[in-house]
Amino acid sequence: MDDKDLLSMYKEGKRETAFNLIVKKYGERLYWHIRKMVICHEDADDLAQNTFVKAWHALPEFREESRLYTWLYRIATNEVLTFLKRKKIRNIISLNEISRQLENSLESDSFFNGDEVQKALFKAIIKLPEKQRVVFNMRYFEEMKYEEMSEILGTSVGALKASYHHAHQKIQDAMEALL
Amino acid sequence: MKEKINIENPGLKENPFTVPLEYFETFPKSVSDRVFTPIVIRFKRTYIIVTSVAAALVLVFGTLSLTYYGEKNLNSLNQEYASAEKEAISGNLTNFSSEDIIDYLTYDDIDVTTLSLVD
Repeated sequence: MDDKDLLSMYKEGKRETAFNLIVKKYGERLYWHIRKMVICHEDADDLAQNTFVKAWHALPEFREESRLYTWLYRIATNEVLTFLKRKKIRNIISLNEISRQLENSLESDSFFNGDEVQKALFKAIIKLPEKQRVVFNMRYFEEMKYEEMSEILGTSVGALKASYHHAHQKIQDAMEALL
Repeated sequence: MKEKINIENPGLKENPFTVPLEYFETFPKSVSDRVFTPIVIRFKRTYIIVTSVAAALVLVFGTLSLTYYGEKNLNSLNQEYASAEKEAISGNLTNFSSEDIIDYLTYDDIDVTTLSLVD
Protein backbone atom coordinates (compact mmCIF):
# COMPACT_ATOMS: atom_id res chain seq x y z
CA MET A 1 0.00 0.00 0.00
CA ASP A 2 1.49 3.36 -0.97
CA ASP A 3 1.58 6.48 1.17
CA LYS A 4 -1.36 8.12 -0.59
CA ASP A 5 -3.62 5.14 0.17
CA LEU A 6 -2.45 5.12 3.77
CA LEU A 7 -3.20 8.80 4.17
CA SER A 8 -6.62 8.41 2.52
CA MET A 9 -7.39 5.58 4.93
CA TYR A 10 -6.36 7.84 7.82
CA LYS A 11 -8.60 10.66 6.59
CA GLU A 12 -11.54 8.30 6.11
CA GLY A 13 -11.47 7.62 9.83
CA LYS A 14 -9.55 4.36 9.98
CA ARG A 15 -6.86 6.27 11.81
CA GLU A 16 -5.45 3.50 14.01
CA THR A 17 -5.29 0.94 11.18
CA ALA A 18 -3.61 3.44 8.88
CA PHE A 19 -1.13 4.44 11.54
CA ASN A 20 -0.24 0.82 12.35
CA LEU A 21 0.41 0.21 8.65
CA ILE A 22 2.66 3.28 8.52
CA VAL A 23 4.65 1.95 11.50
CA LYS A 24 4.98 -1.45 9.82
CA LYS A 25 6.08 0.14 6.56
CA TYR A 26 8.67 2.60 7.91
CA GLY A 27 9.59 1.27 11.37
CA GLU A 28 12.60 -0.78 10.33
CA ARG A 29 13.98 1.80 7.93
CA LEU A 30 13.75 4.63 10.49
CA TYR A 31 15.20 2.41 13.19
CA TRP A 32 18.36 1.79 11.13
CA HIS A 33 18.67 5.48 10.31
CA ILE A 34 18.57 6.23 14.06
CA ARG A 35 20.71 3.28 15.12
CA LYS A 36 23.65 4.30 12.93
CA MET A 37 23.59 7.68 14.63
CA VAL A 38 23.25 6.64 18.28
CA ILE A 39 24.93 3.17 18.03
CA CYS A 40 23.19 1.72 21.11
CA HIS A 41 20.11 -0.45 20.41
CA GLU A 42 18.19 0.67 23.51
CA ASP A 43 18.59 4.35 22.61
CA ALA A 44 17.64 3.65 18.99
CA ASP A 45 14.54 1.72 20.08
CA ASP A 46 13.46 4.53 22.37
CA LEU A 47 14.01 7.21 19.72
CA ALA A 48 12.28 5.19 17.00
CA GLN A 49 9.23 4.78 19.25
CA ASN A 50 9.28 8.49 20.14
CA THR A 51 9.39 9.32 16.43
CA PHE A 52 6.14 7.46 15.79
CA VAL A 53 4.45 8.79 18.93
CA LYS A 54 5.24 12.33 17.73
CA ALA A 55 4.11 11.46 14.22
CA TRP A 56 0.77 10.19 15.57
CA HIS A 57 0.15 13.45 17.40
CA ALA A 58 1.27 15.56 14.42
CA LEU A 59 -0.59 13.57 11.73
CA PRO A 60 -3.79 15.65 11.92
CA GLU A 61 -1.69 18.70 10.91
CA PHE A 62 0.17 16.88 8.12
CA ARG A 63 -0.66 18.86 4.97
CA GLU A 64 1.08 16.58 2.44
CA GLU A 65 3.36 19.40 1.33
CA SER A 66 6.16 16.89 1.71
CA ARG A 67 6.04 13.14 1.27
CA LEU A 68 5.06 11.03 4.27
CA TYR A 69 8.39 9.25 4.14
CA THR A 70 10.50 12.46 4.18
CA TRP A 71 8.27 13.90 6.90
CA LEU A 72 8.87 10.85 9.12
CA TYR A 73 12.60 11.01 8.40
CA ARG A 74 12.62 14.65 9.47
CA ILE A 75 10.94 13.80 12.78
CA ALA A 76 13.41 10.95 13.37
CA THR A 77 16.43 13.11 12.52
CA ASN A 78 15.24 15.86 14.85
CA GLU A 79 14.74 13.30 17.60
CA VAL A 80 18.31 12.04 17.13
CA LEU A 81 19.86 15.51 17.03
CA THR A 82 17.95 16.59 20.14
CA PHE A 83 19.02 13.39 21.93
CA LEU A 84 22.68 13.92 21.01
CA LYS A 85 22.51 17.59 22.03
CA ARG A 86 21.12 16.65 25.45
CA LYS A 87 23.80 14.02 25.82
CA LYS A 88 26.43 16.58 24.86
CA ILE A 89 25.20 19.02 27.54
CA ARG A 90 25.41 16.26 30.15
CA ASN A 91 28.90 15.38 28.93
CA ILE A 92 30.20 18.93 29.17
CA ILE A 93 29.13 18.88 32.81
CA SER A 94 30.87 15.58 33.47
CA LEU A 95 33.85 16.54 31.23
CA ASN A 96 33.37 13.53 28.99
CA GLU A 97 33.39 13.53 25.26
CA ILE A 98 30.29 12.32 23.46
CA SER A 99 32.30 10.55 20.77
CA ARG A 100 34.23 8.66 23.47
CA GLN A 101 30.92 7.52 24.95
CA LEU A 102 29.60 6.38 21.56
CA GLU A 103 32.89 4.59 20.95
CA ASN A 104 32.48 2.77 24.25
CA SER A 105 28.93 1.81 23.23
CA LEU A 106 30.32 0.43 20.00
CA GLU A 107 33.04 -1.56 21.80
CA SER A 108 30.59 -3.11 24.26
CA ASP A 109 27.69 -3.55 21.81
CA SER A 110 26.64 -7.20 21.77
CA PHE A 111 24.53 -6.43 18.69
CA PHE A 112 27.52 -5.44 16.55
CA ASN A 113 28.59 -8.15 14.12
CA GLY A 114 31.02 -6.20 12.00
CA ASP A 115 34.72 -6.91 11.51
CA GLU A 116 37.62 -4.69 12.60
CA VAL A 117 37.48 -2.58 9.43
CA GLN A 118 33.78 -1.87 9.93
CA LYS A 119 34.43 -1.03 13.57
CA ALA A 120 37.13 1.40 12.48
CA LEU A 121 34.70 2.91 9.97
CA PHE A 122 32.11 3.55 12.68
CA LYS A 123 34.74 4.94 15.04
CA ALA A 124 35.65 7.42 12.32
CA ILE A 125 31.99 8.28 11.61
CA ILE A 126 31.33 8.88 15.31
CA LYS A 127 33.96 11.62 15.31
CA LEU A 128 32.12 13.69 12.68
CA PRO A 129 29.94 16.61 13.83
CA GLU A 130 26.33 15.38 14.25
CA LYS A 131 24.80 17.12 11.24
CA GLN A 132 27.63 16.03 8.97
CA ARG A 133 27.19 12.51 10.33
CA VAL A 134 23.51 12.54 9.37
CA VAL A 135 24.42 13.65 5.85
CA PHE A 136 27.17 11.05 5.54
CA ASN A 137 24.99 8.18 6.80
CA MET A 138 22.04 9.06 4.57
CA ARG A 139 24.21 9.19 1.48
CA TYR A 140 26.77 6.49 2.25
CA PHE A 141 24.60 3.75 3.78
CA GLU A 142 21.11 4.59 2.55
CA GLU A 143 22.23 5.93 -0.84
CA MET A 144 19.60 8.61 -0.56
CA LYS A 145 19.30 11.21 -3.31
CA TYR A 146 20.53 14.71 -2.47
CA GLU A 147 17.08 16.11 -3.38
CA GLU A 148 15.41 13.85 -0.80
CA MET A 149 18.03 14.72 1.78
CA SER A 150 17.44 18.38 1.05
CA GLU A 151 13.71 17.89 1.67
CA ILE A 152 14.35 16.15 4.97
CA LEU A 153 17.11 18.37 6.32
CA GLY A 154 16.00 21.67 4.84
CA THR A 155 19.50 22.30 3.44
CA SER A 156 20.37 23.11 -0.17
CA VAL A 157 21.62 20.33 -2.44
CA GLY A 158 24.90 22.21 -2.98
CA ALA A 159 25.57 22.49 0.75
CA LEU A 160 24.77 18.80 1.22
CA LYS A 161 27.16 17.78 -1.56
CA ALA A 162 29.95 19.85 -0.02
CA SER A 163 29.21 18.45 3.45
CA TYR A 164 29.27 14.86 2.17
CA HIS A 165 32.50 15.43 0.25
CA HIS A 166 34.24 16.77 3.40
CA ALA A 167 32.89 13.96 5.55
CA HIS A 168 34.00 11.36 3.00
CA GLN A 169 37.52 12.78 2.99
CA LYS A 170 37.68 12.89 6.79
CA ILE A 171 36.52 9.26 7.07
CA GLN A 172 39.02 8.12 4.44
CA ASP A 173 41.88 9.85 6.32
CA ALA A 174 40.73 8.58 9.71
CA MET A 175 40.47 5.00 8.42
CA GLU A 176 43.98 5.13 7.05
CA ALA A 177 45.25 6.43 10.39
CA LEU A 178 43.31 3.83 12.39
CA LEU A 179 44.28 0.74 10.38
CA MET B 1 53.49 -1.88 3.21
CA LYS B 2 50.21 -0.52 4.56
CA GLU B 3 47.15 -1.57 2.54
CA LYS B 4 45.20 1.31 1.03
CA ILE B 5 41.66 1.45 2.39
CA ASN B 6 38.88 2.28 -0.02
CA ILE B 7 35.77 3.28 1.88
CA GLU B 8 33.70 2.83 -1.27
CA ASN B 9 34.23 -0.92 -0.96
CA PRO B 10 30.64 -2.34 -1.00
CA GLY B 11 31.41 -4.74 1.86
CA LEU B 12 31.99 -1.78 4.15
CA LYS B 13 28.53 -0.42 3.46
CA GLU B 14 26.85 -3.56 4.75
CA ASN B 15 24.98 -3.13 8.00
CA PRO B 16 27.14 -4.48 10.87
CA PHE B 17 24.47 -4.02 13.53
CA THR B 18 21.88 -6.56 14.62
CA VAL B 19 18.81 -6.39 16.84
CA PRO B 20 17.33 -8.70 19.52
CA LEU B 21 15.34 -11.65 18.21
CA GLU B 22 11.95 -10.72 16.68
CA TYR B 23 12.53 -7.06 17.48
CA PHE B 24 10.98 -5.77 14.25
CA GLU B 25 7.99 -8.11 14.63
CA THR B 26 7.18 -6.67 18.05
CA PHE B 27 8.10 -3.05 17.27
CA PRO B 28 4.65 -2.01 15.89
CA LYS B 29 3.01 -3.43 19.04
CA SER B 30 5.39 -1.44 21.28
CA VAL B 31 4.52 1.73 19.39
CA SER B 32 0.76 1.13 19.42
CA ASP B 33 0.93 0.34 23.15
CA ARG B 34 2.50 3.75 23.72
CA VAL B 35 0.13 5.57 21.40
CA PHE B 36 -3.22 3.91 22.03
CA THR B 37 -3.01 2.68 25.64
CA PRO B 38 -4.48 5.45 27.78
CA ILE B 39 -2.02 7.06 30.19
CA VAL B 40 -4.17 5.96 33.19
CA ILE B 41 -3.77 2.28 32.25
CA ARG B 42 -0.05 2.73 31.64
CA PHE B 43 0.19 4.49 35.01
CA LYS B 44 -1.74 1.64 36.67
CA ARG B 45 0.60 -0.92 35.08
CA THR B 46 3.65 1.01 36.27
CA TYR B 47 2.07 1.42 39.72
CA ILE B 48 1.39 -2.34 39.98
CA ILE B 49 4.97 -3.16 38.92
CA VAL B 50 6.50 -0.63 41.33
CA THR B 51 4.35 -1.72 44.30
CA SER B 52 5.01 -5.43 43.57
CA VAL B 53 8.75 -4.82 43.52
CA ALA B 54 8.55 -2.73 46.71
CA ALA B 55 6.47 -5.42 48.47
CA ALA B 56 8.92 -8.12 47.42
CA LEU B 57 11.85 -6.04 48.72
CA VAL B 58 10.08 -5.41 52.05
CA LEU B 59 9.36 -9.13 52.38
CA VAL B 60 12.98 -10.13 51.64
CA PHE B 61 14.52 -7.51 53.95
CA GLY B 62 11.91 -8.21 56.64
CA THR B 63 12.65 -11.93 56.61
CA LEU B 64 16.40 -11.32 56.61
CA SER B 65 16.30 -8.86 59.51
CA LEU B 66 13.89 -11.00 61.53
CA THR B 67 16.16 -14.00 61.05
CA TYR B 68 19.25 -11.98 61.97
CA TYR B 69 17.83 -10.14 65.02
CA GLY B 70 15.78 -13.12 66.17
CA GLU B 71 18.91 -15.24 66.24
CA LYS B 72 20.82 -12.46 68.00
CA ASN B 73 18.11 -12.10 70.71
CA LEU B 74 17.88 -15.85 71.20
CA ASN B 75 21.66 -16.01 71.68
CA SER B 76 21.64 -13.28 74.36
CA LEU B 77 18.65 -14.92 76.14
CA ASN B 78 20.46 -18.26 76.12
CA GLN B 79 23.53 -16.56 77.59
CA GLU B 80 21.39 -15.03 80.40
CA TYR B 81 19.88 -18.42 81.25
CA ALA B 82 23.28 -20.05 81.17
CA SER B 83 24.75 -17.58 83.67
CA ALA B 84 21.70 -17.90 85.95
CA GLU B 85 21.99 -21.67 85.85
CA LYS B 86 25.73 -21.46 86.51
CA GLU B 87 25.10 -19.26 89.55
CA ALA B 88 22.47 -21.66 90.85
CA ILE B 89 24.73 -24.68 90.38
CA SER B 90 27.66 -22.97 92.10
CA GLY B 91 25.58 -23.21 95.31
CA ASN B 92 26.02 -19.62 96.28
CA LEU B 93 22.76 -18.94 98.10
CA THR B 94 23.81 -15.66 99.70
CA ASN B 95 21.68 -13.83 97.14
CA PHE B 96 18.55 -15.46 98.56
CA SER B 97 16.95 -14.51 101.87
CA SER B 98 16.07 -17.20 104.45
CA GLU B 99 12.42 -16.51 103.69
CA ASP B 100 12.94 -17.28 99.97
CA ILE B 101 14.67 -20.53 100.82
CA ILE B 102 11.92 -21.58 103.23
CA ASP B 103 9.24 -20.70 100.65
CA TYR B 104 11.02 -22.76 98.04
CA LEU B 105 11.40 -25.75 100.38
CA THR B 106 7.74 -25.54 101.46
CA TYR B 107 6.65 -25.35 97.85
CA ASP B 108 8.70 -28.45 97.03
CA ASP B 109 7.36 -30.30 100.15
CA ILE B 110 10.79 -30.57 101.76
CA ASP B 111 10.69 -30.66 105.51
CA VAL B 112 12.84 -27.87 106.94
CA THR B 113 13.53 -29.84 110.14
CA THR B 114 14.67 -32.88 108.14
CA LEU B 115 16.99 -30.62 106.25
CA SER B 116 18.49 -29.20 109.45
CA LEU B 117 19.02 -32.76 110.68
CA VAL B 118 21.10 -33.52 107.62
CA ASP B 119 23.38 -30.58 108.42
